[in-house]
Amino acid sequence: MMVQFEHEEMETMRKSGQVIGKIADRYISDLYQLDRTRSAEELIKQLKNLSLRAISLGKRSDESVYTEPLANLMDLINKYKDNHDEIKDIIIVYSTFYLGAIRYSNR
Amino acid sequence: MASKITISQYYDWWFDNALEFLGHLLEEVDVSLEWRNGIVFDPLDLDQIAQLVDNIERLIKFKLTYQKVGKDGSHEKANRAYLPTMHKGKYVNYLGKDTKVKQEITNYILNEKCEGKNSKMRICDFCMSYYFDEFNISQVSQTIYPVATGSLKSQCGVRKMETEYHACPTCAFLGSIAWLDDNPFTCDTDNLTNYILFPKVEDISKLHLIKDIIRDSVKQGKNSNVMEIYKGRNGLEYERYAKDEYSLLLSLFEQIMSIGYQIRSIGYQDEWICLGIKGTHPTYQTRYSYLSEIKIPNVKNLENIFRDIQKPYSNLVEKSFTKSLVTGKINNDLGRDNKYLMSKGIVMDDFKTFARAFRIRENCILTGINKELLYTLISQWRCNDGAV
Repeated sequence: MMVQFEHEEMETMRKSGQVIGKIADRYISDLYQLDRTRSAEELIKQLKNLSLRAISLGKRSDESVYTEPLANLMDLINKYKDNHDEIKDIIIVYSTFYLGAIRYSNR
Repeated sequence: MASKITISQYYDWWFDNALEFLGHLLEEVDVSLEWRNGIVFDPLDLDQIAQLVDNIERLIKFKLTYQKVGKDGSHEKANRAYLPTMHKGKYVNYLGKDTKVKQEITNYILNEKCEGKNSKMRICDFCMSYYFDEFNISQVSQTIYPVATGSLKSQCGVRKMETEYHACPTCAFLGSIAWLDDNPFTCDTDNLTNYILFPKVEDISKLHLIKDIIRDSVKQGKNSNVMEIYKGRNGLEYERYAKDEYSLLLSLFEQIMSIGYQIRSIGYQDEWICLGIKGTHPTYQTRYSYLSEIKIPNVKNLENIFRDIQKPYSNLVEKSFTKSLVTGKINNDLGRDNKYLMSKGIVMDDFKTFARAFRIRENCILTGINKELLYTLISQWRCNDGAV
């Protein structure tokens, strides 16, 4: 049986996906590495990397990238430690969707 | 008044579907019949048999061929070569007989089937009844039973078992006319595989109700009979059809709903059988056929998805495409794979499979997904209250 998440939790994952999609537009390997994580610890570690990326990206370009959703997401992963895989799946779906939307938004 | 004729059920996916189809054909020539663990009907007179054979012959011309448009724009009739109904350009078994012989066989099966046994009679491998092979149609090939082995021991891989099977005229007749039925099918022209779906229902009267709804919802097409027709930019009409079994099932549900039924009106039918027939390139003959079952774990959830996003296949899955991040070219192979994964995820209620389509592989990314539909789908699927 799959975990059913709360509405706010879904929003956290969606917003995180948005942030990760934005980062992946520059640093695609970060998304690959997120996909490759195998445990909750690894996932959190990679999210920390992504947060640092987001901050440096925000300093370099004009538009700022919020890291708040990522911080909330780490709390969420700690809450559902046994089901971190399902959270990862949802984030991947949203991240890829946003990356595609950024790259091919003219269509 | 002669006594009623009974053909009892086989409890086998192929022959039960064929028997249901025979019942449907008999109903079309105004034979009163009952569905009772099989079909029970009054004997047919010669006019009715002539009419029945006429209908079957019309269906052979109609169902086993399609309109092929040549390079110069000419139209011609081409055979559906991938179906195992032909050998060296001719129809085999019952389908290949003359009208006169067809009438004789039909008359024999439906009216005067002789009972009793003597030493010259053989036993049918399917229904265990005794028969005479009067009409030379009893050798079992893939025409009669699509997953039958070939008859050459060295080629079919079965060496220690019997490779040749024999069927009585009734089974041979039923097996060969089943190809004329309106079974939902689709053809993936890239890897030459055909998928045909059958509902898996034990009770034949329930099967009849389901298949009547399916018959209403399928159309006639070259590569599929479950498809959406849309207008291209130049005003011409094109077909959009599924390329794998799960997508076919999704689009079948869409078609059923588009003519005003619901999933509950086919009794939440959750067990389906998928026959895959793979052809080879130069001749497009059957290479092998295989059978798989699809058991939808949560039909009610699927119904909710259909309620929230009316056409999950045509509007969400089919519109997606897969692009290379480096060159920007569309990758059709991965695109097909991703569509398969998305449909399979939705049908089997398996989010992990669905999410696999979104992973970036070979530097290719899935895109073209409608934002609103994706939000609705994921919230419906993974959120407590299902609200967007």
